[in-house]
Amino acid sequence: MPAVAFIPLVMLWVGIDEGAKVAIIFIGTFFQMVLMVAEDVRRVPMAQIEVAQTLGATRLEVLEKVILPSAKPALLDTLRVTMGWAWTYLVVAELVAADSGLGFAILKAQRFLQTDKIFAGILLIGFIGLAIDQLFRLLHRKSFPWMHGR
Amino acid sequence: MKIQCNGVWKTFGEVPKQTTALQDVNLGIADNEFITLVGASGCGKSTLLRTLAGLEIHSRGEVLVDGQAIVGPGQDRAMVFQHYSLYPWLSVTENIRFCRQLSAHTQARSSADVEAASGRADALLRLMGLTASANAHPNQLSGGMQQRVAIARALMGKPQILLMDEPFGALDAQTREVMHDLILHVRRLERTTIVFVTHDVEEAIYLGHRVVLMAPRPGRIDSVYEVPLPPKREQDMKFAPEFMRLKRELLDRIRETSGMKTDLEQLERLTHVAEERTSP
Repeated sequence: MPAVAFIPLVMLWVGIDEGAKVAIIFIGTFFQMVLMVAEDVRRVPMAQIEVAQTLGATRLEVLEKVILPSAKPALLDTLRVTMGWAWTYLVVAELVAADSGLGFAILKAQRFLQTDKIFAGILLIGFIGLAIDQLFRLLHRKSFPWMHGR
Repeated sequence: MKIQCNGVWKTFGEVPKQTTALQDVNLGIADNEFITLVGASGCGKSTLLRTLAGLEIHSRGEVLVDGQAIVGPGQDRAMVFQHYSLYPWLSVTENIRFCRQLSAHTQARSSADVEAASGRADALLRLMGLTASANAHPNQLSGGMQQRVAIARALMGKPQILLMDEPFGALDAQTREVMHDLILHVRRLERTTIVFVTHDVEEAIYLGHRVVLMAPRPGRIDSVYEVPLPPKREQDMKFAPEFMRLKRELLDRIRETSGMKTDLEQLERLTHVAEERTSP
């Protein structure tokens, strides 16, 4: 989905407040995420599913006790990647279709030729993005210790 | 439990490019019998096993377990796969107790049942020599230990039939010998019917009461051999003359059915061509 191309439409239909940001992030991430989640689930080894079936698991139990826990680490990775996109789209949305936020602050600074403020904004956006990413990494380590070393 | 295959066919694909994986398989397996399936690759031995498990549905014929037609996988027929396929997010104990989370195994919710299950899990841990690693995760274990966990997991639900698909194929020779005696012990103890697929003829003779030899293209049962050894097997029997004789007979027959001979001729022809090119 060309999320950025949707910005004018979103501005017309939703306006230029929080709703617009949410709409743009949704358009920009949801459909990719559907594909990635489908791929994560497809990667669950067939043998893990078949073991459960020969132990008498029902379809629902296979989903709940095998597919979900088996795909969980990959799902968290998908969320981590998607979060990066969402962060980018948020800033883009704030630059053109908002009346508050870091992107809006940068835009305001540009109007008054305050280069220092623009740099402060860029650095802050980058830092918060990095912090969120590291948080996801930490969460992955804490949630799936069996995947990380012995 | 008895297994009966009557005229079982399994085909893959549509008519013009159809391959026959199983052609008219007729086989009866008695209660508490140990059957081994051997054959060249592509002979359909794994397909037959998967059909018994209910993971593949046969195209024609009938597969009966105690007179009941198979419609899908069931708790009475547990399967052990070549690549262990343990659940890496669960500890050894949790893997073994996995079936206790399934409704098929927990219909009797009495405290006695729960207690018996817990006792059984401990007994299996001890039987498999896994007590020290009970809380480890599968990726911390060696291949042999992982396979022991997989066998314990399959046995936990007291299956009357155990289906094993080259379970020891990836293990070293010493570990494999230990596993052989372990699985024979389990059969005596639990009175399980075992169907065991392997490509190792020695393994097939040592374990089986009968060895079913299958042939490829199309996959079918070629012949069935009674193993002329006493029911209680010992490692020394591998050097008995009747063991050797059967081993040779089986190996010869597998070579005959596999079509390897034509491949050798092909290789010879290729060598001749290469020699003619290099000689001036």
